[in-house]
Amino acid sequence: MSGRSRRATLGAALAVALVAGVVLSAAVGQLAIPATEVVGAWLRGLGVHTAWAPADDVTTQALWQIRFPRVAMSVLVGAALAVAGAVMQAIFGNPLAEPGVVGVSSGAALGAALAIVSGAALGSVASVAGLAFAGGVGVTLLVYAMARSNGRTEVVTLLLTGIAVNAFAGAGLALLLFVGDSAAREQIVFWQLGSLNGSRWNEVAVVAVLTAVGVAIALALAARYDLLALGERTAAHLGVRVERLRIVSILVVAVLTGAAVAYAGIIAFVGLVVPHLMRMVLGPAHRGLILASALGGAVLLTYADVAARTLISGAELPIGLLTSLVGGPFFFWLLRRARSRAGGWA
Amino acid sequence: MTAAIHARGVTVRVGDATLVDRVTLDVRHGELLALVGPNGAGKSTLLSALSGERTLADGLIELDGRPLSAWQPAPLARERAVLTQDNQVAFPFTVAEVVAMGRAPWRGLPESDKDDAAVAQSLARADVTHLAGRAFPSLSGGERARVSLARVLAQRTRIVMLDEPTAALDIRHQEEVFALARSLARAGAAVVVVVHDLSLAAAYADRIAVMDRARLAGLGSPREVLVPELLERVYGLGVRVIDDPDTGLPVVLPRR
Repeated sequence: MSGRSRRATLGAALAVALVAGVVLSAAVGQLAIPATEVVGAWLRGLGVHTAWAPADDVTTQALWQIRFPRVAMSVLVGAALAVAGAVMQAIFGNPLAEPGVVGVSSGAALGAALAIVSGAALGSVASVAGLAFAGGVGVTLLVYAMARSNGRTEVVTLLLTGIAVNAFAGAGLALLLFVGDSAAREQIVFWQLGSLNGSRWNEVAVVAVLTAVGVAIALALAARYDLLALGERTAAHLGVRVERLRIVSILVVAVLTGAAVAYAGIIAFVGLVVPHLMRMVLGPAHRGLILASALGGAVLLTYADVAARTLISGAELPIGLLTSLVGGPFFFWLLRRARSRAGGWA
Repeated sequence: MTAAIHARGVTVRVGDATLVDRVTLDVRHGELLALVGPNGAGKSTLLSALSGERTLADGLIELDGRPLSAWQPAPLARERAVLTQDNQVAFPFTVAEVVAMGRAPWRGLPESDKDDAAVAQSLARADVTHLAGRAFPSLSGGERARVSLARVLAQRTRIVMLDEPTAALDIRHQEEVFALARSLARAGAAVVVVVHDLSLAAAYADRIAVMDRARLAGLGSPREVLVPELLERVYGLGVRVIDDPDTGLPVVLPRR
């Protein structure tokens, strides 16, 4: 199959999967709602009246106030995390780079925990999100600064930096768990496990804006990411301002990850798994990769959220737990595959 | 006529070490200049300085009469192409994609209409057309070197800088790469090539610059520069310079 038709096929498949997943995600739950009513309620919300619209207002209310914002959040968070992963891999020239692996998510968790424990002073939901965002952005910049020497980023340094950052953030979290009261502890633990439960439209709006900006910038820079694969020196010889590209990109990663993590908590490995799968199908060219990653991330998280809500009846699995259960082994596989290849990551 | 590359008193320092010390040379359009010298003499450093990659401790470099510092990155990339020794590609891009990246500086300009033709021609000239669909990381060292050269050709610049393009190549491809470099020069480009093989330099270069411990030890035609006294002083090894029976050009052999 040629590259063009392969892109078109994948794009179509992902789009279909996403629409189906969105409808499915809105339909399943404690109150099962037929797919036709989901579509009908959605159309009515847009001002189109059809025969499919739910007869009673309770269903419509449930869909618009609880299910739809949650579905929208899963789509946005998935897209943001996957694109953040693709961008991070592009600027480090390394398919192992992922915001979670290098410790960005732990930084965000630390920020969130700080907000939760400090309680009354900072305890509103907005400030949990705010501090999580700040923690994520701060750690991204820290990792970037620490993993580079002489204008280069060694893979080993990157991963070791991630270990150091994760260890430090873990200790900070432990300290906060230690000083916090039992309610705060519970909240921290569940925040870390990640959940899309209780997403609201105003939160969705914030994440939507940040995600749209981040993805748009990443797409605009896609051609330059391709050149960066040739190495910093050669990219520079081809007219790329490498340092500026890196700084803008690291900010994009920080914003995308921060936005996703702020409201949804830690949802790991999406940024690792999705771009990697897309690269296997499409090849490494970044324009297609970033677009497909956005779609693929949205698809993955939408279905993961459906699974989180339905695997155990009457209870909801934390979605971050699910993605890590799948993502962890995948990461191992990636490492082994890389090692068996000539040269490895060095 | 303005020199393509004009370097005057070029000095590069890293920490306390002076890697290039007051080098002055001109390279004209239509000329192939070979840069030779022992390991660590500063050849690659000088080339990277000429490419605009390094900050000079002292001296001046002009391309087409304009100081390097006055060039913006994109126009510079349309004027000069650089082949480094580092032929790595981070992701499994195909050979055709890698070569097409050489067209990036022309994006959005009328010349980008010729992208496909430039890529096809460059693949053919570097003898890698048969590899077009292969993933770059799956290639051998010599194949990578030729693909990277094709990328440089696709850039279609009037100044070309090649850092040891033949290091990983068999003798046929070494000859082909130098024949190619010379044909670029004959077509009007200014070509600077770092190379270790003195006989190869003698056979194809218009002039040879010999670097020795950060300084320029000699600059001139192969016949002028490749003389035993100079080479023995620079390399610390006895050499014999004989004439090629076919071309009459100097061939350098170590005394064994």
